[in-house]
Amino acid sequence: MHECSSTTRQESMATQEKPYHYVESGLPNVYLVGVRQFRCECGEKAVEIPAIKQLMSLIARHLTMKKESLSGVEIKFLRKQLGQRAVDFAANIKLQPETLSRIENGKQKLGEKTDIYIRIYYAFESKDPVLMDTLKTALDRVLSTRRAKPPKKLPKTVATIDRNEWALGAAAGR
Amino acid sequence: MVQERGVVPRPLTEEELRKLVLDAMNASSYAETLETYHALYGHIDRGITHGDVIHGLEHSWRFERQPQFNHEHWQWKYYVATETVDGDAITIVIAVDSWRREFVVVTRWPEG
Repeated sequence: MHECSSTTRQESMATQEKPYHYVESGLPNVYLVGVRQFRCECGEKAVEIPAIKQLMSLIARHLTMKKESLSGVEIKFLRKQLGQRAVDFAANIKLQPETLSRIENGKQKLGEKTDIYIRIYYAFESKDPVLMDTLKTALDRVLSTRRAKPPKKLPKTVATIDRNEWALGAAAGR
Repeated sequence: MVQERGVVPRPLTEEELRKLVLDAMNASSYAETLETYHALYGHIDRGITHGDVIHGLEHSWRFERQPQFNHEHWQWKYYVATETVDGDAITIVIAVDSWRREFVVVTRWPEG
């Protein structure tokens, strides 16, 4: 991008030893290798990022599957990846907008259940096939364990209606 | 690229620019990236991320002002008015270099 009148630019490749610090992702710890960087005579810089949407999805997938808790900026990244405003995202993950804001800004810690819920919510909303497969495998594992030990007598399942809303539960005193 | 003479090409329409940019952003294989323009990302104002830029370019936008032709670099520069994920107005400047088959994206908060 030239606001100046220079016509030449220097090109370099981001390497493992000298990767490109991808702060524009919104995350402080993402680095790119193999991308071309340009520096104009005027000092202006640009980086070539092919298939940027694929890259962003990959980062989001990594965040969703990582073992450590999600940080505030990571949650913000996932939210932006879903294209949801903070107020909508907060409603979708059952949080108050103020709470989400504090979490995204690192002023409040994220509960473990909310952490898991955000990951599952992201997997479903993004429709990322890899994440969906992972969820399916996890669900299959849980269900197959249960199927392996069928009870001798099937427990009662009771559906109760209350104010036109059905709720399912096991019967008391089986 | 400096080109001092020649007929100035016509600017892209909003639809053509949209396709050019989205094709590059959406490319999902190496072969596809070879067919699209190279996407270069330059300056981005504080508080805006590439997530916002992608969102802004994928959703409805309009030219903020008439495209400008830079004779020095033989490029059309397009000013796109759009929004971040959170609904804040942003201006995305896209300089298209047809000779190099690349475009450079610069994203700013609106002036004033």
